[in-house]
Amino acid sequence: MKCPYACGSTEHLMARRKFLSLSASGAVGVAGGLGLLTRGAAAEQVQQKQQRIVVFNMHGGLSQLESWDPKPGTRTGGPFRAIPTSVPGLHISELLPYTAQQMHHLCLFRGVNTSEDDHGKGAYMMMTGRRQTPAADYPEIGAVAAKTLMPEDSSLPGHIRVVPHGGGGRGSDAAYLGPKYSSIHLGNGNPPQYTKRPDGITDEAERRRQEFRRKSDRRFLDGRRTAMTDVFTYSFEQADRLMEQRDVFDVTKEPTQDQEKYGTHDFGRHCLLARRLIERGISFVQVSHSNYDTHNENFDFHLEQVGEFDRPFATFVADLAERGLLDQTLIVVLSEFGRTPNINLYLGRDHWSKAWSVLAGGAKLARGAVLGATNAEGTEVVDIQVDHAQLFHTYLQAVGVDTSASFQIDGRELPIADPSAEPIWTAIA
Amino acid sequence: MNRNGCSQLIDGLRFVRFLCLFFLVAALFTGTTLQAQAPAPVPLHQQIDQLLTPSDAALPQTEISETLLVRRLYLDLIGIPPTLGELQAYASDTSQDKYSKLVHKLLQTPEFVEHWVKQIDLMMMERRANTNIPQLDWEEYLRKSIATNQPFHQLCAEILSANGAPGPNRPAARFYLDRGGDANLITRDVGRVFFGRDLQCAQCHDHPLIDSYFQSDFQGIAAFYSGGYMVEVPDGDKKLQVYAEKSLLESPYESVFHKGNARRTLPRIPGAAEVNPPSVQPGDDYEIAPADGVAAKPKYSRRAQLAQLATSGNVSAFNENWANRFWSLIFGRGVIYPSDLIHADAEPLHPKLLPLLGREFAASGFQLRNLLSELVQTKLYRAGQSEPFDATNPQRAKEIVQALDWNKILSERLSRWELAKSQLAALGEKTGAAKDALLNIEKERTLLLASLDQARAALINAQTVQAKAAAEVAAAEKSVVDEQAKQAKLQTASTATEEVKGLLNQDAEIAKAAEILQQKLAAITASITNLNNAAEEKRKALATAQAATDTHKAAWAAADKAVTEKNAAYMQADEAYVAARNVEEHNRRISSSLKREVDYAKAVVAVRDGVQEVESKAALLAQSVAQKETLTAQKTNRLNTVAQLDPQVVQATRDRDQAQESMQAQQLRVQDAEGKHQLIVTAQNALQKLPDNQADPLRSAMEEIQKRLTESESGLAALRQELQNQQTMLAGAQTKLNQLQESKAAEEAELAKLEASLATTETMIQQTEVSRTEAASIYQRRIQDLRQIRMDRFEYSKLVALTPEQLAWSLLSTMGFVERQVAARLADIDKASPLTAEQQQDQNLIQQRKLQAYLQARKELQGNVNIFVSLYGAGAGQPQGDFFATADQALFANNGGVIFSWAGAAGDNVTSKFINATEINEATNNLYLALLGRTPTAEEISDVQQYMNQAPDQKAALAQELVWGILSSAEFRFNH
Repeated sequence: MKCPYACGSTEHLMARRKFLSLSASGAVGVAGGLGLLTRGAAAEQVQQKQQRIVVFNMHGGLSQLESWDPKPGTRTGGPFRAIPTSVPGLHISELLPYTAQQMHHLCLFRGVNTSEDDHGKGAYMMMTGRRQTPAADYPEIGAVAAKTLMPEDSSLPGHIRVVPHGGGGRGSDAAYLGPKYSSIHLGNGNPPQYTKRPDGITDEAERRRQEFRRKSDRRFLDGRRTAMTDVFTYSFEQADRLMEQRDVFDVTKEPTQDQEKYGTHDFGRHCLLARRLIERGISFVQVSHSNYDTHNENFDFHLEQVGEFDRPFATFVADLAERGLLDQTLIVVLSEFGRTPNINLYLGRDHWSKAWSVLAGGAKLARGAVLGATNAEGTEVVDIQVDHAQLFHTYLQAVGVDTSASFQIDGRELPIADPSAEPIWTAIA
Repeated sequence: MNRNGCSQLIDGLRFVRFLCLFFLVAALFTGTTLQAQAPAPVPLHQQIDQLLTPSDAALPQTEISETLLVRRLYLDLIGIPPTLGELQAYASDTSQDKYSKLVHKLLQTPEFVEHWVKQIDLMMMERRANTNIPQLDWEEYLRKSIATNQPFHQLCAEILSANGAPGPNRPAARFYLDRGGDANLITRDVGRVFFGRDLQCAQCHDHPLIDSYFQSDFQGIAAFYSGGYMVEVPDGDKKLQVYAEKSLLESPYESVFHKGNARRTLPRIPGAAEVNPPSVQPGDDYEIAPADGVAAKPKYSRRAQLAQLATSGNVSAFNENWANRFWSLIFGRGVIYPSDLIHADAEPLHPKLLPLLGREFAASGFQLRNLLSELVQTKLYRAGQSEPFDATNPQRAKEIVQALDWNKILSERLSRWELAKSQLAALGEKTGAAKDALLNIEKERTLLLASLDQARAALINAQTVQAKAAAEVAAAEKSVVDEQAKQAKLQTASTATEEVKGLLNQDAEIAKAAEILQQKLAAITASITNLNNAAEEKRKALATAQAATDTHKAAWAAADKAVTEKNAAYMQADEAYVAARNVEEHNRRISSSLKREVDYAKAVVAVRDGVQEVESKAALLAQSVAQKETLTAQKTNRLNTVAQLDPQVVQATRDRDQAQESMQAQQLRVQDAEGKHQLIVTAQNALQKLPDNQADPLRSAMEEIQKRLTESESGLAALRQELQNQQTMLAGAQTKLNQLQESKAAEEAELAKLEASLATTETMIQQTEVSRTEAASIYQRRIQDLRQIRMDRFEYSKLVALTPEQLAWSLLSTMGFVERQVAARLADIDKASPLTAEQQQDQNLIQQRKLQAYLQARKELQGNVNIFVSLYGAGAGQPQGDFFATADQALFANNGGVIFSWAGAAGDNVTSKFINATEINEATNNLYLALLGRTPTAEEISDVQQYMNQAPDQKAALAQELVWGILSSAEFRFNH
C-alpha cells in the first residue's frame, strides 16, 4: 500500500509500525533480522530466476564528456574523439574502445539531471533514489536488492561492496531494513572480515567449542525462546554456512586465463570477483573505481582512469552475455554526478549534475538503447530528462521488483522507492 | 459535534456523571479508594508494588534467585556483571537490608556514572555523528552532571536552552548542533526524547493513526524553535558553529488536508497550556542583535522558556517521559511502549503508574539515583524467569488456569472496559467542543497575528528608515562641523595675514594672499550655509521618519494590544481545552489499560480452553479407540460364528443332496413298480374280458395275476410309503439347510455392519487425531501468547540484549582486563608521586587516585569497546533499543580472535583460577558464578568434566574454549 498521506513522509509509516506493534507485541524490538519469519512481499514478486545487480561506482564524478556523451570539436568537447560502437549510430569517447564493442548489450541514459553538486548528497541520491533529509534515512540500492532479490534462507550476504583499500567491515547503508542488509565490505577484494579462523584453533577444537556453545544456548533458551533469541541463534548458523562457502570470495580460484583477461590491477581483479560473486548467487555487488574528481588535469586523469576501467568492464559485460547471465543481471555504471562542460583554468572540469549520463544494461533493460540527449555543447538536457529517483525505480523494475510496492517490516509499510517518482518505462524491454 | 448552549449543558451534565463513573471505574480498577491528595509517606517502590498488585486475579509468579538478582542489578545499574568475590560477599552478608545497601553502594560507583553517561548519550544522540561537539567533550559534560548528582531536570534545562556559544558549557548544545540545527529534526527529536511523543507524522496534518497527536502539537514545539539558526562565530583562531536564536514569531502553517486554512500555534508543550511570549517592541528585543559572525541573543528566548517550563516539574509530558525511559532501561520495556509513542490509546501497564512515577520523579527533585534505586527495589524487579507452566505440562497449566474462575474474571473485566469505553465518546465530544471554541478564537487571533506581523515589519522598516535618516543627519552635521573647523582655521589665518599685510604695506604678494584668504573665507562661509541648509533638510527628513516610526510604534502597540487581548480570551478557552483533553486522555489510558486486562484474561481463558480442547479431543480419541476395540472384538466373535456355521452348511447341503438323491431313486422305483403294476392291471382286465375265463390255465393265470396284483399293490404301497418317508427326510434336510443359510447370511450382514462401524470409527480416530494435534498446537500458541503478555507485564523478567558498550565492558571486566588496567594506572600514579605516610591515611586522596586510574584505564580500553559498537550498534540516528543479530557478529565471536583471546588465562583471571583449581566441581561452580552469576546444574558440571577430559594434557586450551563458549552464549548476551 502506498503512503496515502499527502506529504508522502516515510515517518508516517514508521509510526504506523510502532503504532501497530502495540497490538502485535510479539515481534517488536527486533529490527530487520526477522527475515525468516517475515518474508517481504517484494521478494515474492521476483521470478524464480534470481536476479542480480552489479553497480560500478565511479567515485568523484566521471566526466560524461570523456565517456558516454562526447562532444568532439565543440567548445566544451576537450581533446578526445568519439568512436563508433557496436550500436549503429552511437558514438562514445575514444577512451572506451573495448566498451564500445559491448554497447549493443547496454542501455545509455544521456539525459540525467539530478540538481545536486555536492559529493555526499549526490552519492546519497544516486544510491538511495531519494534526497537526503535530516529526519529520515533510506536504504541504499544494495540493501534493497539484498532484501528483495536474495533468497531469505541464503547463508551468503546479499549486499557486497568491493572496496579499493584496506579491511572489511559492515557499511551502514541499510537504514530501516536493518543491519542484516547492510553491505559487507571486501577490502581490496579480500574475503569478509572474520571468515578466517584464528590460528591455533584446530578443527577438533572448533568442533568441541561450538558444540559446547550450542548446547549451552539450547539449555538456556529452552522455555525462553522469543523472536529475539531465534535471530541470535540463527546468526551463528548463518556464520557457519558462510564459513563453508568461504571460497566464494576467493578470486584466485578463477581460472588463470580469466585472471589474465581481466588484468592484474585491482580494478580488474575486482571485476572478476564481481563476476564470481554473482555467479554464486550473491544478489548485489558494488565495485568502486576512483578517483574521478578531476578539478585539475581532467583529460590526463580520464585518459588514465577510463583507460583502466575500459577493458575489465567490457570483459565483464561480454562474459555475462556469453554465459547467459545478462538476462538476470543488471549492470549500472554511475557516479554522484558528471562534470562541467566548461573547462576551467587548470584544464579541469568541476561538479556538474544538470546534464550527465548513466550507463546501465542487462536484466529487463532494452539492449543497445540510448535514452535522452544533451545539446551540442552538452550544457543542457534536450530530450528525455531523468533523475535519481526515476533511475532508482528503473534499476529495480529491471530486476523484477515492483517499485510501487512497500516493504513490510515488523508491521511497518515503507515504500520501496520514492512514491512521487515513476520508473522510466521506455527503458524496460 | 454539538455546539449550542443546550447541548453544552447536557454535555456538562454528562461530564459530571462521567466523572462519578470515572472515579468508580478507577476505584474498581485499582481495588483501592482514591486518596490521591494525602501525600503518601510510603516509598515509591512500595507504591508501585501496591499499584501493580492485581485486585482481582493473578497467575502465580516466580522470583529470581539471589545471585541472578545481584547480576541483574549490577548489569542494570553499573553496566557490568558482579565478580565472583562480589557475589560471594553478598551471599555471606546476613543483614536484613543487604539488598538496599548494595543498591546504594552501586549508585555511588564510578562505573554507575560511566554506564549512565552512555545510556543518556544513547537516548539523546542515538549515535549521531559528532559533527560539532567531540564525543569526549559531550561525555565529559554528562559525566560531570551525573558524578555531581546534578538534578536531571537541570541537565535537561541546560541542554534545551543551550546555543553552543564558545565556553565550558558548549557541549550542552550537542543535541541541537549535531542535528545540524534543522528545525524539523529538532522539533521531532525534542518531542521524542524529552516528551515521549514522536510527532513527525503530525507535522503536516493531525496524526493519521494516533487520535491524540495533533498538528498543533508539532507546531507548538516548532514554535519554540522558530528563531533557531546556525551561525559561525570566531573562537580564538577557530570558527565554531553555534545554534543561535533570533527574535522571530512563529510561522503560519496549514494542514495539507485542509488547505487554505492558515493557522498559527504559539509555543506549547504537548498537554500543557500555550505559552504567550511577552510583547517586546521590535528594536528593543535583542540582547545581542544578529550580525555576521555573531550569535544573536534575544532578550526573550523561546528556547530558554521551553527549558524552564519543561523542567519546572509541572509538565507531565516531561516528567512521565523520563520516568518511562528510565523505567524502560531498568525493566527492558517501558510502562508505555515504545518510549517515544506515549499517547492516550497506548496500553499502559497501569493507567496510574506513569503519572505516579512522573510525579514522584519530579517531587524528588529529579534525582536520577533516587528513581533508579526505587525501581530496582520493587517486587516486580525480582520477577523470575522459570515458567510456572509450559507447553509440555498441560496438567500443571490446567491446575493453574482452573484455580480461578477466569470466565467470570474476564466478563467482569469486559464490563469494566465496556463501561469505560462508553464514557469516552461523551468526553471526546466535550474535548471537541472545547477545541472548536478554541479554534474559533485562534482563527480570529491568527488574523490579528498576521496584522501584528505586518505592523512589526512596518515598524522595523520605519526604524530602519529612521536610523538611516539619523545617520544622514549626523553625517550632514558632521560636514558642517568639519567645514566650520576649516572656517575657523581660515579665519585665524586670514586675520593673521591681514595683520601682516598692515605691517608690510607694500608687499603685493601678502596682499594677494590676504585677498585669496578672504575669498576662501567667503567661499567656505557660503558652503557652510549650504551644508547647514542640507543638514536642516536631513533633520526634517529625520523628523518625518521619527514621526513615521512613532506612528508605526503606535500601530504596532495597537496590534500587539489586540493580540494580547485576544490571547487572554484564548488562554481561557485553552485552559478549558487542555483540561478537557487531559481528562479525556487520562480516561483513554484507563480504558486502554483495561483493554490490556481484558486481553490478559482472554489469554488465560484461551489457554484454559486450549487445555480443555486438548483434553476433550484426547477423551474423544480414547473413546473412539475403545469403541474400535469393542467393535473389533465383536467382529472376531461374528467371524468365529460364521466360521462355525460354514461346515454345518456344507454338511446340511450334503445331507439334503443325499436325501434328494435317495428320494429321487425311490421315485424311480415307485414309477417302475407303478408301471409294472399297471401292466398287471391291464393283463387282469384283458383276462377278464376273455369269454372263457374258466379255462384253468387262464384261471390259474388269473389267480396268478391276482396274486401278482396283490403283491404288486402291497409292494407299491410299501414303495410309496418309502417315497413319502424319503420326501419328508428331504424336506427336513432342506429346512435345516435353509435355516443354516439364513443364519449365515444374518451373521454376514451383521459382520458387514460391524465392518462399516469399524471403518467409521477408524475415520473418526484419524479425524480426532488431527484435531487433537491441531488443538495441541493451538494450545502451544496460546501458551506463547500468554507468556508474551505476561512478559510484557514483567511477570516474567524479559530477556534484554546488552548494549554494545555493556557487552564489551562486561567481557572486559569479567575477564579481569579492567581490574588489571586500573591497577597498572594506579601504580603509575603512585610511582609518579608516591603517597607520603600522611597521605596514605587520606581516604579522599586515595579515592581520587583510584578514580583517576579508572577513568584512564577506561580511556585506554575504549578502542576495544568501539569494535563492539561498530558490530552490535544500530545505525546513526536510528533507534538504539531494537535488537538485531547478524552473521558478522557471530563470525566476530567465532573468528574475531577478540573474545577468544580474552577468554584465555591471564594473570589471576577466571580462566586461570579454573585451570589452577584442584577440585573440578568447585572450580566449575566458581566459573559459572563468575561468568553467569549462577551455579551450574549437575548436568552442566558433568558436561564441563567431560569437556576437560577430552584432552587432559591441554587443560589451558580446553579451559579457554569453555570460557569462550560461555562468553559467546545467549546467556551472556542477554540480561535476564
